Amino acid sequence: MGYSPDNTSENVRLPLYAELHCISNYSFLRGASFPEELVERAACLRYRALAITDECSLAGVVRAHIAAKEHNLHLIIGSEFTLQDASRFVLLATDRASYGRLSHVITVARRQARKGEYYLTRQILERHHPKGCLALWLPNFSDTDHEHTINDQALRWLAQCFPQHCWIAVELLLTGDDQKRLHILQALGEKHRVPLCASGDVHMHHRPRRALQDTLTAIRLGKPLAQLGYELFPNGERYLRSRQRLQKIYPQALLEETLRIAECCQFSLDELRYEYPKELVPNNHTAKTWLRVLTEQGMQRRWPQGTPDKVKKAVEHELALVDEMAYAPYFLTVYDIVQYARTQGILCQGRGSAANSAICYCLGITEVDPDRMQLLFERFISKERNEPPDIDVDFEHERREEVIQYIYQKYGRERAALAATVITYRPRSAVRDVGKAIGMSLDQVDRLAKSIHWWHHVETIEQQLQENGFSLQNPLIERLVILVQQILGFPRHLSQHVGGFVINQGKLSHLVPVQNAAMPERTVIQWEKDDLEALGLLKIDILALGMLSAIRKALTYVSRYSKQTVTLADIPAEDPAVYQMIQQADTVGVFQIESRAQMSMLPRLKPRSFYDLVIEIAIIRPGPIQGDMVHPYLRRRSGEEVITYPSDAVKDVLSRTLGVPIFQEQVMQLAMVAAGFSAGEADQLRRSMAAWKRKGGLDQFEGKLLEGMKARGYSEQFAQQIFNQIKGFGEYGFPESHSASFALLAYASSWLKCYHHAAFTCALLNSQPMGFYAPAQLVADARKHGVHVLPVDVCISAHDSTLEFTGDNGSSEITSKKQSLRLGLRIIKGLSSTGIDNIICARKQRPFANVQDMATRAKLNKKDMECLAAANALKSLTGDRHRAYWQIAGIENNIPIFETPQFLEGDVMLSIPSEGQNITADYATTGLTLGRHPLALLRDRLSRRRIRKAEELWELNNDTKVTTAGLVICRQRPGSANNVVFVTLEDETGQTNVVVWPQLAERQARELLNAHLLCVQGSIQQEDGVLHLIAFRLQDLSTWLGDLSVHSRDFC
Amino acid sequence: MAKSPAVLPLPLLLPPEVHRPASQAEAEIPQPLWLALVFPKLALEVHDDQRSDIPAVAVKEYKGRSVVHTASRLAEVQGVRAYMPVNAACALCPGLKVYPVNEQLQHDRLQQLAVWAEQFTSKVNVQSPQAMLLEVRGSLKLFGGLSAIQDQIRQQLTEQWRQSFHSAVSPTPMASLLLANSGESDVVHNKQHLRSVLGGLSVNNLPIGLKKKQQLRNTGVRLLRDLWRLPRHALARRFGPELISYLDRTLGLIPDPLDFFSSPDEFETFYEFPMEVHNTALLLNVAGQLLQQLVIFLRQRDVCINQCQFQLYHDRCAATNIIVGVRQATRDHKHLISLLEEHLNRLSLAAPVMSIKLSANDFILFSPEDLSLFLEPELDQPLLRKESDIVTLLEQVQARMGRDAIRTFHSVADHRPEYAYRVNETVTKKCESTKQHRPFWLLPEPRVLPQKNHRPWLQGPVTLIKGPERIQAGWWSGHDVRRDYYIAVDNKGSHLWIYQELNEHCRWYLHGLFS
Repeated sequence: MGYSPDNTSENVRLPLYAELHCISNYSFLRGASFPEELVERAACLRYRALAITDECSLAGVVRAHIAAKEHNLHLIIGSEFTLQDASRFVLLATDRASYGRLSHVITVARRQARKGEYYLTRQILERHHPKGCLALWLPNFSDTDHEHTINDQALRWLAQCFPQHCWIAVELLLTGDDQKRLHILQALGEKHRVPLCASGDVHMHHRPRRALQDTLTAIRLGKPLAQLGYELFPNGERYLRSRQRLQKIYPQALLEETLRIAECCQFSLDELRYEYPKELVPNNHTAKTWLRVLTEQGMQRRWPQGTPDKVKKAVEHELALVDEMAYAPYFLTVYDIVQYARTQGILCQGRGSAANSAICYCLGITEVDPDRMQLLFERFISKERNEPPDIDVDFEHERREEVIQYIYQKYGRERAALAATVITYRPRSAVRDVGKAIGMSLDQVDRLAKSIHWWHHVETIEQQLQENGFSLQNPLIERLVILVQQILGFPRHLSQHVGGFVINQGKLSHLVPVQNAAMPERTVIQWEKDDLEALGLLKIDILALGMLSAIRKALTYVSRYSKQTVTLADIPAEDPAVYQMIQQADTVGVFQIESRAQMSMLPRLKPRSFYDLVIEIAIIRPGPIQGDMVHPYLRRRSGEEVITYPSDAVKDVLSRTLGVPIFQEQVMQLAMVAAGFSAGEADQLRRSMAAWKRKGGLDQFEGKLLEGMKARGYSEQFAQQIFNQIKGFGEYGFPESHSASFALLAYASSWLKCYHHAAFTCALLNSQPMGFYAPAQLVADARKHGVHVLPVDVCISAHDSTLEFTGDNGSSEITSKKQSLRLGLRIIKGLSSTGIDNIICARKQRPFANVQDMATRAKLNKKDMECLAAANALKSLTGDRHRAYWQIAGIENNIPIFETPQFLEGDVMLSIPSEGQNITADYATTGLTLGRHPLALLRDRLSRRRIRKAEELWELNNDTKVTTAGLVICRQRPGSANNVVFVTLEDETGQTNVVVWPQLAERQARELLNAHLLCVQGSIQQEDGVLHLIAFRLQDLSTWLGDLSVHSRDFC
Repeated sequence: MAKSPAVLPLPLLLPPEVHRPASQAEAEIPQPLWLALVFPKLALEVHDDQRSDIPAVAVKEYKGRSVVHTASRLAEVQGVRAYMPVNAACALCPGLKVYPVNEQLQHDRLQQLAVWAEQFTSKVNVQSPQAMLLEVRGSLKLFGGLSAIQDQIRQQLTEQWRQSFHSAVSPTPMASLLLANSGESDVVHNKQHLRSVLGGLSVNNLPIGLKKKQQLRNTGVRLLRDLWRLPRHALARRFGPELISYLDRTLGLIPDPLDFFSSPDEFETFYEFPMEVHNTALLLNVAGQLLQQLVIFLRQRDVCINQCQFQLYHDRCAATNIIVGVRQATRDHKHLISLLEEHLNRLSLAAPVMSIKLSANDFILFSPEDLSLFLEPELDQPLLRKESDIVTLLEQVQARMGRDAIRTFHSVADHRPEYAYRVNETVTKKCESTKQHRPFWLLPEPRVLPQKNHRPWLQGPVTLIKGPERIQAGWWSGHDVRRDYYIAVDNKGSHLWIYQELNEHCRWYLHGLFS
């Protein structure tokens, strides 16, 4: 009985077939197989061709295209449509032109509807007629005369619309009426002179996906399976059926007709060519000459005294390469955008492989000086790899939208759109949706989903459920687990990419369908980043970076008080004081090197130069950590280990990192020089590296790499080590070019922190939320460094935090010492922005006389007033918090006709808030206190329990058992650390880094996850100025805090 | 200018400050003594399966999310608290049992408790959702003192009701409640002592909204004592005159009249025949009059019934019971009589009837919805609707033939044939049926067909004439159907509906017959 596709003798006798109606899971919540799975299965069944015809979408075709090339299958691009009058058909592209029109029709239909929907009528289709496309009419099941008439009309219209290009798709799916249906359709075909062809309405690549397909239907319709009834398919016949089966079901002629249709469809996505916008080049120039002009102008500006020879040489080299690859328009496009940002005073910086080229430095796309960087720009574009240049540009996060709107405005919505991001099922969403579909109660589903923690891996879902008391023997749970595992990674909907723009010379809609995003005024294309990359289409990443906002603001403040303009370029390079600060890990608030892992590395690595920072940023990443590159590098740097290279070729690649591969580029180069990979293979390796954890597929490289290295005389140990490092890099490999751009911002922010701490902190506070630390820690750090911080005051504070200058105003010398940082009203939780505006507006007229006066003139509502009282911002009007609350509670609203009402109330007998109450309230309302640290208040009680302060730990020897306690300010579980959880505790003397091993984390999950005030027993591990407390017991002391609300920032 | 609406009414709302006339007459009236019972875990304890040794919570919606309302002792031990999101509670306490708060059950339990409490005093006041007040001054003598009453209450609540509770006693109802709610089991005999006893209680225990409590705490007012220090008019302006009035009632400065609970009545009426009755017609006549009384009773209380009970007493043998039940609650005289008539017609009297009793309890609040389905004599124009006629008719048939006599079919949207219809006692649902060809008769269970030469066999060879129709559905319910259906003809020419299982056995079954 069993049909084996490999049985060639049988194969010959079987009829040939092309499947022309097949949807993938990119017809969201309908198709139950990935495009790749469909292609692979069709190839395995030796179909002549396969059409991927997702509903009004081409979102899955690029993946199908790649798979089809791999499996040598003829792929047809098409799309299925349902008109408003419910008639259905499939359109197939025959050539580039008809593909463009098909894409345009999809665009038109999508742009007229909300995100995720489309709207198509006969009129629209006639107006935007996709000439050249083939149409397959999909009859509705008809049993009544009325339905016959409708079918009759629909077919007549479609046949007229696509003369000679129309077929009737006969889909026989074992419904019991197959013969009758065939006869009816044959009669219709004869009547309208439309030929018939076989097709399968394929929803999945093989039968076992039936349950998943039913489940998807349930999710789509929002009903549990048991209530769906006839809305489900009666059987699971919508899969890629074997040719043997098809032979039994269809007349031979219908199967043969599919081949004729497939023969007409010769379009391949490889034919797509992308054209850059042309308007950026003046008339008398070409892109090539214009880029040279701009680059030379930039060189002039960068080096007024004359460009160093090294740079000149580099520029020439790069220009030649750019010219050869015809990438000049790309650089011009990026230049144009950056130029716009400059004129608007928006700080921006490029990164990515091409961004740190000499050209980009000259064009002002990056500030990474090629003269300062020794080795980066050589390989910024790989000619051999034919890899498109990669430039991401970061903009100030608060002003990126201006840049995006500029692009839309300049190129129009026809020509510019954002790339898509496919939102896929993650464990939690999968459990939630599948749970609902199989009929679990909302409550159950909620509990199930919540039991899947943010750090859990896919493989452990079963285990997680079990640990949370759900029995796997329960058939419901059993089904859930199976379905969840199948649905993971399935696309749910298209969202917009964070900032990847595609800009085209012609209409974008003829290249790829464009649809509406959820955000108004945004349009996205149907392809995501990987798709674009696979087809060699260029995108420009317009990203948002909070630190750029903060740096721009800090520079503005500094410029203001130093009475001269200070820009990023004016920051002196390689300042020893800055590096000294960095070496002491005094980097709270600094870009990138502020995380606890970075901080614990700084005293060991002791960065002394810019390139050290580049390495520091790249090395503290999951990739290098998992690849075990950190310790060898440290040992070599400190001289404990001799720096050796297995060969000169390897030395060339690795010498700048002391023989240890740290950057993504180095791994690829190693594969080439040490294992003989071609450039193309190295590029494939890079792609597989990024995806192997999800998809696997590194194995094919393992053998080749090990053998290649062996053949070139490298030891097996070295080869294995390199392969492990490649695996470790996985999703986290960090390119040197990114690191260099980040290092620049890290240095700039360090310089600001070092010399202009008040301005820096002020800028950080005004750019929140961003970074690793909450305002409380930023302010505490600033105060520790002697910055005078003033509380928020409704009579003084502006919207943002501001710098106040105390002392002698007459003196023109204002140094940073005399500044005070006044907290702004925005720091008050819950205070509305209209409230803030009204306060400032009313205060400008005249100062507030009292609370009633403020409330009346600033038209504050009860909630805003409560927020002000809670934040102690009314102190200058009312006295302490209790009195503030009492007074605002007594304010009468809505008496607009009368003058400010005055109630004669004597002083009331309210208690004065205690220090503890004040600190508690400070934390609850502004997230920070200018009073004592909460732990200081508990110190007596803590001491009685022999709980030590953070600073005392440093005086203890390694392996000393000790107990400490602190507010939990951060919990982290880095992907690289094998389920180890890192907790940062804070007390009045500083922070303590706690390491919680997995067993303990599991055993004491409650304490670990819930405690605000955590008491830890553990042993000290101190090395190179880094202290860790290895926990062996946790205790939750949160009740000691009363209702002090401290929020930890949790990172996954 | 003094007409500001916000300013004017205030003084009127404030009761006089001084209240201590201590006139001779008042002093002689004994002060009432209120015993408050608070059932803090009632929301959980109404669930019978809620034993005290499992962690459980009752949850309610609060600001759009499910939060803990009541946590069992064991859940509390593990850190579960009121207002904690359910998910957080589940995370803290694996295996936590979660119930929704069921106000109806709580109300019913409180009613039952109130009936029970009436043994101690006639003055019982129910304080929904989880407390009650007993005025016990009058019962002191009877029970032998307050502590004797308290002992009995404690014993019965613990042993019979298995109900956790707090209790407190004071001269004002609100003070007793406040004390009991705070978990204090004080006994305060004299109004004059209330201030000092209550002063140390937290404002969190006041029966005011969460927001107002927060406001009080914000101003540094933590205890009732702090509250009393504040000027009345200023307090009233901020927290509303209700708070002032509440405080005054608590201290007994103003009277606090309460409604008392009264047990629900039971309807019972009795008629003794002047002579022995053999004849059901006469019986029906009298019974009709008794029913009339019942209907009047029901209308007065605006309730209706699901059933009533007649008892016919005979001379020497046991009484005959007739239970007249209706399918939808009613108080329609004619309907009840016609049902009774059906019963009587079927009845053969064992002995002559001496007397007749009609009783009814379990009254249901009358709602106008019920009305539309019945012929309501209360209305001038009886509502005649086809549907209601059918219901009435069906009930009459059922009353005569027995409940099992009537079945109706309705189709259900399900690809699996055996699930595509359902047997019901009434026609209610709209039909949705498949477009596929289905046989009129479906076998109760598919019957295995023997096979000969891989062909199904039914007293001869069976020829497949149409199909297959593949049906694969139901995997989600544990009843997975995977079959190929065919229409077949046996050698007698009957059209059969048969199928072959899509599994390794490939067995054939007969599932239906076409008429």
